[in-house]
Amino acid sequence: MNQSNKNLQHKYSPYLFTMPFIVVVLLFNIYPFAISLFTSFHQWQFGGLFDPSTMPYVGWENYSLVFSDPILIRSILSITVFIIIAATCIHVLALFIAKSIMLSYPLIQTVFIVLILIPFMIETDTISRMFVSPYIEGEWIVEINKYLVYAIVILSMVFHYVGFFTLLYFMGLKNINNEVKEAALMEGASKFDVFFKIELPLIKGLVYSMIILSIIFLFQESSSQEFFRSRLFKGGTTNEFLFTFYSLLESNKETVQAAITWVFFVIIISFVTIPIIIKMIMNKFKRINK
Amino acid sequence: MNYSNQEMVVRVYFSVFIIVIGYLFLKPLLPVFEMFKSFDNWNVFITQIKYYPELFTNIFISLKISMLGTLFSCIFCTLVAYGLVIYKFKFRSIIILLVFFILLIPSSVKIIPFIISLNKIGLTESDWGLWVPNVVPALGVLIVYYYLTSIVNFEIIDAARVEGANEWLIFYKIILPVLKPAIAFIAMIQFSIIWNAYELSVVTIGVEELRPAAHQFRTVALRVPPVAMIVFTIIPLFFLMLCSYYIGQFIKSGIKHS
Repeated sequence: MNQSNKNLQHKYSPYLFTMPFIVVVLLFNIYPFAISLFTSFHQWQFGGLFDPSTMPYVGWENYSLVFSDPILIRSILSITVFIIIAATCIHVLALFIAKSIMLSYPLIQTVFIVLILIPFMIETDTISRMFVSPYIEGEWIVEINKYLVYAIVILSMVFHYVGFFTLLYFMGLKNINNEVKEAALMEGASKFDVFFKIELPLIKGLVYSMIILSIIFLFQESSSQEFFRSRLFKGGTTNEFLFTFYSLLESNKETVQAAITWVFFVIIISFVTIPIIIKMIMNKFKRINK
Repeated sequence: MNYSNQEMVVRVYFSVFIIVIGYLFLKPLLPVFEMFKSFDNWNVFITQIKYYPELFTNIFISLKISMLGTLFSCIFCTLVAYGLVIYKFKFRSIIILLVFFILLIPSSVKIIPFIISLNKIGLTESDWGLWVPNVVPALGVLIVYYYLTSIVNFEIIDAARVEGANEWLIFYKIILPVLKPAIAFIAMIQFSIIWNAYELSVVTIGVEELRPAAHQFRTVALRVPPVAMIVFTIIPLFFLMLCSYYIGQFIKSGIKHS
């Protein structure tokens, strides 16, 4: 192969390697995303063919309809509480388990990690059903406290995701240089100090990105959990405590649904950016103190 | 490996502790496995399954789409991550940002427009629509990207280039062998995601023989007793066991912190 051919190959190969991602993203993510944005500003009945010329422009009307819905605030609150409780439980537990695995015998480490990855292979909805099985009578869930349903959904999320995050935290902790820890131990630091003052600050970048990932996962779950819908409960009444994304979608007309999904998209973006803003403010304070 | 007495006590203590935690994780799943023991459950299962003859077709469809989706996502994730890690090109940072952005979009935001776009391509009402959209998952690309950045040795790659290896040869002979553990991890995640993808199953909702098991499970399982759960837990678990050796390798390597 001559030099010019090689240079050409080096020039175009990154684009060839990343091409599958670009194609799939454009077809199945960006394009639907654009259609969703378009329909949120237009009047549209789902069911017919998608033809932009037949859809009249309505401006912010769809959004004002969403914001006038009293269920919106309740569902936002419900999802916020759900994400905060579940994410906190997942990360505290995952870090704790990851550190425990580090301190155990290397022989059982792999076996244990494969063991706690088992719930990750099973869908959260299935796990919720396993937890709720004592309350199933025939086709319906009966005699169940609304707080218990909420707790069961959070428990199933923790059960499902804790293995995945434990694995990643464990790998992060394993990569820390042993010499630093040994030096600290020789200087008289306890194992407790080593974890909180050396290991945790060193993996804070990983923890931070994992928190963002878990927020995304939990939001996705909150919009697909069957337990947040009414059809599993006897009588078909939606539990008021469990109002989420779906209750909002079910109570509104199809034309408003694109706007609802966009409102929730903005919420998830703000959820994700809150840790970034907090980090920026903290850095600023540190600089001022210096 | 020699441990001091104090360290031995700590190791034994935490080993026992994680064995207890492991048992707690397995406990909610034990009733599912215990169902194998009882003949009554199998009788109930066999009588109930008569009312749902399409269930086995659905399981076959699910297996097919999960296998195809997993295979192709393993190939494409490694290719894309390799392109992003090894080369410094013009749109690199934009593509990395795009990976994060795609992760942020909840699937429910785009589900209806997504079906419209699938319809335009002509993938609805065929099982292709169930796995093709999942062939390059952003999460998979991100995991291989992190893994590759922590293990890649640029000197070896440069040496191979000097010796006359082309880009494809470098990927195939140098990078792919060291990526095996990460590929196993991606395979595990992808299999579970596609096997459990309920929202995606609406793509073929009109064609009864093309509905995946995830769809049938949500609509039927509460009526069929938990015996049906065996089907929906055993197959993903079997896949996890297949990958477990490489996941062990994945754990041993560690990842970068930032």
